[in-house]
Formats: sequence, structure tokens, C-alpha cells
Amino acid sequence: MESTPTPGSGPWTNPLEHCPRTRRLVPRTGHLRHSLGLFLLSFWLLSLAQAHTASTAYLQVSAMSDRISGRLELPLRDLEDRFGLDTNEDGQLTWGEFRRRGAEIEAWVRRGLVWSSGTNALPWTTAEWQVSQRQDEGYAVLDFQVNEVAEVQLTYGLLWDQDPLHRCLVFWNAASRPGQVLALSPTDRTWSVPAPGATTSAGWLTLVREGVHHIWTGYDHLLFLLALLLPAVLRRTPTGWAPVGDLGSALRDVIKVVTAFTVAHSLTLILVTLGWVSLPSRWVEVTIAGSIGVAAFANFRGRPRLGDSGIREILTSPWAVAFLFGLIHGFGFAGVLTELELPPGHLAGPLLGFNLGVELGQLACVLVFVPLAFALRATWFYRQGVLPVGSALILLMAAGWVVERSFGLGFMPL
Amino acid sequence: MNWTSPRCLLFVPLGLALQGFAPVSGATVWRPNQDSDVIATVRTGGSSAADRELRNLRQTLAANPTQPSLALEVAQRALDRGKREADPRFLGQAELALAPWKDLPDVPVPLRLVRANLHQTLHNFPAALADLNQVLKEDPRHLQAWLMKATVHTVQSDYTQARTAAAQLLGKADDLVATAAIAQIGIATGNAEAACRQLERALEQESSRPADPSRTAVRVWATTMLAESLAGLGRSVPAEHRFREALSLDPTEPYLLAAYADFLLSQNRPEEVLTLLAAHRSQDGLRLRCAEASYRATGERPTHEVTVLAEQFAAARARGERVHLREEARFELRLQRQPARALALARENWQVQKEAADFQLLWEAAQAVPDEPTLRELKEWPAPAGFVPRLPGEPQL
Repeated sequence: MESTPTPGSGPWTNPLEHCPRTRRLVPRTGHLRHSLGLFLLSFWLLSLAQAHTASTAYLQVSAMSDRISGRLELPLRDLEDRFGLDTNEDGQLTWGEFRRRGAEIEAWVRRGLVWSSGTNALPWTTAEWQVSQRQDEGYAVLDFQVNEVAEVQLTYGLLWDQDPLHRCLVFWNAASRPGQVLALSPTDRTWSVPAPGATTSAGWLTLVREGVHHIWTGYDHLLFLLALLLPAVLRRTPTGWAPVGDLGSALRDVIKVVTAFTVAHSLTLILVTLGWVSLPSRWVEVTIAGSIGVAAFANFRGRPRLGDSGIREILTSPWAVAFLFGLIHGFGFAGVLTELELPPGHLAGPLLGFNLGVELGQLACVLVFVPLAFALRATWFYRQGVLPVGSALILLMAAGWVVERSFGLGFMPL
Repeated sequence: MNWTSPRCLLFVPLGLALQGFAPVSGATVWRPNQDSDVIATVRTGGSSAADRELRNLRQTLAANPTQPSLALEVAQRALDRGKREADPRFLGQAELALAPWKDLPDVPVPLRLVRANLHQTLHNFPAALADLNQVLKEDPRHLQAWLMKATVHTVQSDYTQARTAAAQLLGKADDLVATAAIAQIGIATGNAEAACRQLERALEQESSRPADPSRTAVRVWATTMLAESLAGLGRSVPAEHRFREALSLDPTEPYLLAAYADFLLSQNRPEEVLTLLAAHRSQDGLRLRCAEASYRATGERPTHEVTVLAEQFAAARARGERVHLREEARFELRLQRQPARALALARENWQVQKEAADFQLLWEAAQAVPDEPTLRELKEWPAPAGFVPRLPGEPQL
């Protein structure tokens, strides 16, 4: 250092500009021209973005029903800068260099990262230090657990006293709001862990979406419905299938089927989620596959027969089939909701959201199918093609699924 | 279409349903087996004297955080390192040094100027201009402030204000600096031919002066500006010559390396990009160019580089940064082949900065989609030098 003049001592003083190549301070010459030139060094890079990511900590937090578990990842470069870990100063940090200071670093983490409930600091347990790699940079990893879920607050204050541009990215995972990310900054240091089940509108919408997603990608529910709806635009006559006269009577059948299915599966969905009933999942899956076959098979009986009664009567009234097997499909939906590990006692909101999603997804498909089917109902194509061939295909799929699910095989394409 | 297949009902809604479900990716975590395992590179090339010096200065400052000359020294050095190495951690150190003056009404002019520089480096242009205007209010003859103001206005395409600011430099500042400040506005507003002539003349005068290492940065700046502008005009031979001249003056300047790499890519010479940047792999600012060059050279997407870049952009986005928009748009367009995403990013970027590269990127993305309204909107805009935006169906000149 060759000069440390006082700032503001002259009209042109930015005397601390330094030469780029030698990294030495330029003596103050009073020469405007020189200092302006040097100033550019730090000036013209304006548009080159830092593809290098700034100092960022990653905090993954998951809420369980009775505890919060998580993982904190801190950039090793920043820890080195603070603790001088690279003792041999070769620019390469080894596990040994880090491990020797592990306890000290953990104590520092515990001072800067505080879990609290009300005014009480909460104890939290940590696992042993590990490491990770993100974007080609090394991170120190600390897994932890907080044995409390009610009104938990996080106060984060690590590394800001050495880099105010440091951010802590919190990845919050819970059934009520999966995959939420937020950034903690010096002006925003605290985060209230959402109460279990305290679903925000955004979280609730996520569950609605989850419901839609499930019905659209769980092909078995849709196929079951489709098998029941294929004949809705037709009616049975002694000579076989005939088109219904008006949209009204077709819609009546459709509404009957959809409503029966909805009421039934909602009923079991609620009962299972509340933990009042349960069935082995393989049994449920096999029965669902079987139900698709039954529904499709019924479509081959176009003519009513004398003496149809009992089981046959039921088979030929699609709404009854929809209701009966809808109960079983409800068990299937509940399985998805159970996987989300919803905390007990806060089920109403998520349950409603998910169910609404299922119904919306189902309704969308019905709205696509019914007008098409109605328009084509009188054609040979529909009566001799779509109905029997479609039903046969569905039956085939169902048979495949029954075998697959019964024996835990995996040969079906869907 | 055989609509008896139940799957036909699923195509559209399935596609829609899957969109919002990109999971947050976790990193692989492990516990090293041996103490000798390297877990991070904390400084590239070991600890340098400059590193130690800056660290010592920071420690001294930590003990006296309100000492203006010390704060200025640390902020300036950290800012220079941050720009030089395209490493935002140094920018954080600069910000920390300036923190005690954050909410004070009276900030010494030199500190305010460094702060303006920091703001513009972080693409916080309004804050940079507020500080610059305050500096100029206190000292209307502050040429550095006028120069920076001219550049910030140019980047934001406020050319009237940029010209007013640059005019303040005429006759008062170094000829080469004043010429370059005015030339950059000319280049941005379609007068690249004249700007190139002025720059060539000023550089010629410069070369007749005795060699002065303290003027290297200015010469590199002006020469690179000239080279980029010549390249834009399609005069690739003199452009190449100027790029090499600038590199002979300073072979490690990241902006220059990036500009030359872009030139080589535009000339379809990806192998040379890989050679050029081979020694600068630690310069993360150049990673995108490397990845692009390697994709073009081999025809295979460099999967590791692409993953790292994607994660970096995702993290920056989560942090709420808007510094990377141009790079991210380019990444989506050329490496991810996602024109729609690229267009959205290029549009967002166009709101922040409007340099030639931003124009071309937006144009390229809009063509790839294609998006006629954007293309028509850009036709109204003064195109950068040598760039003739042609709507589909328009005759080639």
C-alpha cells in the first residue's frame, strides 16, 4: 500500500483505484486523466453476469406429524473464509482439515440458526457432518431434527456478517404445501414453519392439482368410468343397442353414473383417511382392476333377457356398478393421500382439496367424452365399433392388470 | 385417430397436469472415507498475495467498520476482484464494507461512487443512478460519475441522457475515454460505422504515446469495444485483429474473453473457443460459452456442464436475482433447446437491459418459437450495428 488518503479530500480523488496488473495502489498524482482511466478497470465489465452463484445455503425442511426434520448445506468456501480451515493454504480443503474443526463449526451454526417456539429456544439434534457437491462447489452438510411441530419459528443469521449477499434458500416440504422455496436475507431472517395442516390457499390448490393429477394419470379410474359411460348414449332394446333420442336422457344416465361413483369413492376416501376403515392395498388394487373388467363385460349384453334379476340386474344398471365399485376405488384414492403423510387432526382441508381435484379431473374427461359419444351414437361406427371393440380392449387391459397385481408382476405398459 | 382408445382422452390433460410438478432436486450427500479426501476447492491456484492482503484489510476493517478510508479501500478492492473474477462473493465483501453508510444521509463522495459501481454491477440500475446523481449534485465536475452515468443510461437504452452525460467528458477527460464513452452510444443507436472510425483514430493516437501500463485497462476497453463493433458490422478480419490486440494487452480479462468467445462462436469456430478458454475454466462466467462451444464442436450436449448451469440458474432465480437473465435465455435457447422458455427470459431481460446482445437474443428466441408480435415489435426498434432483422418471408438483401 502506497497511500491511504482520506476520501473526499479533493475534487478528483478516488485515490484508491489500483493498477490491475500489479495490484498495487496508484499514488495520487492529482492527474485527472490517469485516475479516470484506471477507474474503468472496475467499470466496463458491466454486462458480464456472474454465472458463478453467490454464497447460498440450502435448508431442506420437512414436517412430519410429530417432528421437523431437515438438512442444512453450507458452502465450504464461506466456512473456509471464516474459520481459515485450509491450514496448509493450498487452496484444496480436505476432509481432515474440515473434520478437525467440525465441533467448533457446529457450535457456531447453533448460535446462528435458532429454532424456537414462542419465546423458548427449542433443542435440536444433529447427525454427523457430511459433505455434498452443488454446481461444482463443495458443501458441508448437517442433518437435523426438531422434536416439535407447533408454532415453530426459524431464525437464521449465518454468514451475513461476512457477506450480506449470502442467502439461505429454504425448501419446505409438507403435504399441505409441497415444494415451496423461499429465500432468507438480512432483511428477512425469520420464517414461521407453517403449522401442520394449516393449508394456505396455495397449498390447498396444490392438493386440488394433486387430485386432478391422480385421476388423469391413474388410468384405472378413468377406464372404469369410460366402460360405464360407453353405453350411456344408447339404450338396450330387444334387438340390441339403439341410440337414445335426446341429449337429456343420455345426460341423465351420465349424471347417475358419475354421481354414484363420486359419492361412493368420496365416502371411502373420507373413512380411510380418518383411519376408520382399512383394506390391504393389494386386495384393493386387484379389485379395482377387476371392477374395470366387470364394467366392460356388462357392455356385451345389449339385449335384456327374460328373468334378468339379482346380479344380472345390477350388472346392467351402470350406476349400481359405479356405486358398488366406487367404494373400492375410494380406497385407492386414499392410498395416495396417505402417502402424503398428512398430520392427523388437520385433515379436512387437504381432504376436501384432493377430492375436489379428483372430481374436477373426472368432470373434465366426462365433458370431453359425452358430446363426442352423443354425436356419434347413431353411427354404425359407434355401435358396432367403439362400444364392443372399446369394451373388449378395456376388458383385456383389466384382465392384464388383475394378473399383474395379483402376482406382483410388472408386464403391463401402463 | 382411433378415439376408441381411452388414451386419446388423456393426451392433452396429462401434458397439462405434469407441468407444475418439477421436484426440488437434492444434492448427493456422503461422508468422506479418508482425511486426505479433497472436499472443496476454496481458492483456485492456492492463496495469492492479493488474497492475503484483502483478507488482512477485511480483518482490520472488521475492528473499525466505520473508518471511511479503510472501508473505501476494502470495497474498491473487493469490487475489482469481484468483477475481475466474476465472483459475487467479493461483491458481498464490498457491500459489507459499505454497510455502515447504508442508511446515512451523508455519504462521502468516493464511498458513494463505489456504491454506485457496486449497484450497477448487481444490475440494480435505479439505485446506481440515484447515487451517481447525488455525487454529481455535490460535485458537478466529477468525470468518473458522468462516465458511469453515461454507460448505465446506454445499457438502459436511455440515449438522450447517455449523450448528455457523455458530453460532459468532452475536452475534460482523457480523449480515449471520452471517445469510447460516446462511441458506445453510437454503436447502440446504429451509428457503428462512425463510432468505429472514431475509436480507430483515438487508438492510433494512443499507440503513438509512450507506453504506460496504467493505461492498459482503457486501451483494452476501447479495443474490445471496437472489435465487437467491427464484428457486428460483419468485418470479421479487422475484428479478429482487434480482439487479438486486446488479448495481447490483457489475456485474462473475463469480458474480453467472453466477447471473443462469442465472436468465434458466431464464426462457427467452437474448437478455438475451447482452446481459448481452456486455461480459464475456473472463470465460471465463461462456463456457458465453454458448454456451447463443446456442444457445437462435438454435437453432444455436455451433460455435466448443462446440469451445473441449470442448477446455478435455478438457485439464482430462487435468490431473486435478475443478473443472469441474458445468460439464462441463451442457455435455454442454445443448450436446452427450449425456445418458449428462452423467449420468456429474453423478454424479461429486455425489460432490464437493451444492448446489442439482448436485442439479438430476443430476436433469435422470437424466431425460434416463432413469435410474430415480438418480431414485429423489434422491427420498430433501432437494430444494433450490422444486424438486419428480417421478418419471415421478407426478402434477403
